[in-house]
Amino acid sequence: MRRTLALATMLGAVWAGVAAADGGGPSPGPSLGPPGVLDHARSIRYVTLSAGKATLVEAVGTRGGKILRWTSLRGMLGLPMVAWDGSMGGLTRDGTHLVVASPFFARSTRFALLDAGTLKVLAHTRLPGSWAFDALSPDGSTMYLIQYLGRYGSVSQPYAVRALNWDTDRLYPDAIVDKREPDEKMNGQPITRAGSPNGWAYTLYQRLGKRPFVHALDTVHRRAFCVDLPWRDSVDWIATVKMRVRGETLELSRGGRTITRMDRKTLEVS
Amino acid sequence: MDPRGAERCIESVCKEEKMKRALLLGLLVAGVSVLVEAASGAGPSPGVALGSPGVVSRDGKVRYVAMQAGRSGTLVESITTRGGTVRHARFLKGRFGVPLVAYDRSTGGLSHDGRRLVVYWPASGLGHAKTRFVVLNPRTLRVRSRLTLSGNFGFDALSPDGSLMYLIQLKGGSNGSGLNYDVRALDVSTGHLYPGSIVDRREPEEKMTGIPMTRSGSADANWAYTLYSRPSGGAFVHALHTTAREAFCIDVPLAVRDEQLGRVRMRVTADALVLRLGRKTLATIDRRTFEVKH
Repeated sequence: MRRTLALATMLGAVWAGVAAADGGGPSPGPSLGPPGVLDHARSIRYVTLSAGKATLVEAVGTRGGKILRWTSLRGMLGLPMVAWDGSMGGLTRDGTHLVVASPFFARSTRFALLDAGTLKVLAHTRLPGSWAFDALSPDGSTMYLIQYLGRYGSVSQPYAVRALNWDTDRLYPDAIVDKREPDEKMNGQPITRAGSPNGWAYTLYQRLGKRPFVHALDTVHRRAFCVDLPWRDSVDWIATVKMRVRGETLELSRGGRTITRMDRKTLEVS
Repeated sequence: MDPRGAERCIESVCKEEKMKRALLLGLLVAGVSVLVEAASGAGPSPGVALGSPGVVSRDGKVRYVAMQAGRSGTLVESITTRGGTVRHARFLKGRFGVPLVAYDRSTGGLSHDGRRLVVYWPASGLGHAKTRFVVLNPRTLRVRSRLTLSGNFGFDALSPDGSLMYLIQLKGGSNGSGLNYDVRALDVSTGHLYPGSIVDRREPEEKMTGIPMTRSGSADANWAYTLYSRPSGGAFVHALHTTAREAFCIDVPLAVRDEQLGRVRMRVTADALVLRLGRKTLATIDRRTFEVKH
């Protein structure tokens, strides 16, 4: 496991270097080992562990540390990390579905959708090229992905947000873009992530040379909006920003103090 | 300590009856769990456990489990009991499990001082069988040593510092039932078995038989008390001094039916070993004299 983690860390470091150089690091990639991902009730922790040529997926009780259920999958698969602060994804909010993914530095990328209650594989898919997990719809039927459009790790890495229908095992045509600015290219590094009960995934992105923005992804209706933030010189402290959904507001705080609010309906920032 | 009045507890019964009883008791007390696999089956050693509950550290903070990984691998994990975070994991080639020490799923393998964790896999059969053990550092799960013994052994206990490992060595017995066995001691540092078996020296010729039902240890881990069910009926407590390499068998007449024996539990106090069935105290054994009171 340590070797795997070391590899992941190394790749992460390399990627962080690349991202810092070109201002575009769309995904930290899958994570093996601790901490895993907690369900919404914080009663079960899901973790993936490298075990020889297999991966163990385990559901561990947070009270007592007992392994409640587990499965063994062939190959290396991890739980998706969705932001550089260690925010994890892959588990639907109701705790019924779990996605594991292979690292995205191979010729193709594997994803598996599991029933979180039994850890049985419900579906799996293999996509040519490098892809990374981004989000799941509340019922787990739609998976949002980061598609690396050029060679992985290339300078000025272009990417697109795509959606895959698990029921048909097919990608929806076209990328998920902010229709108000369809020609604007996606770039940036995901700093932190917050979700809402009704299926919105909010990701704070940092961009080199530009102001940060919030990527608001509606995982139910396959639409997204990019909301620019009025922050100057945030590069030194943006990594400490926390986000929280509170009613109809997305609160961005620093050091326990709310510094920016975004209206979730109008997308206005104050 | 020189216990008086303790009786050796061996009786010969026919093979069929032994096996039936062993299997019945095994089924009664082991139960069925999706996550726990007992290898080696009914007999003097319950085998190993895969998955939870594993074995928990003395301070209750860390749980150690062994998971089957692929067809021929094992992942040994240490997991925090508060939060369920996997602290370390170690992949081992071959199959290994956390030792079960009684059919109530009592587990062992972790030394009292927290410096050694033993996992093993029971051999199958008695002929040219080999039993493999791996000793790990519980803090890092790094392998400290690997031991392979010729023969069919089951784990029984560790001394408090983990330097001595006690084993159940299965012997064929005249009827081939495999229920006859010896208790052996192994020097963990050298991997060598001490010559001879650990017997009650007052009655050294008597053969060991029985099914371990439940286990309790003294607070300092110097004593391991195991309640055994005799193949012919009745029960005895095997008191193993894990530091001195001494053992005593204490015959304990219990007013319970055979099928209730699997629900008897033991508790060690400063002076006594208390055997209970539910809220009812069945017997109290003086830990110094081994005198049994009802």
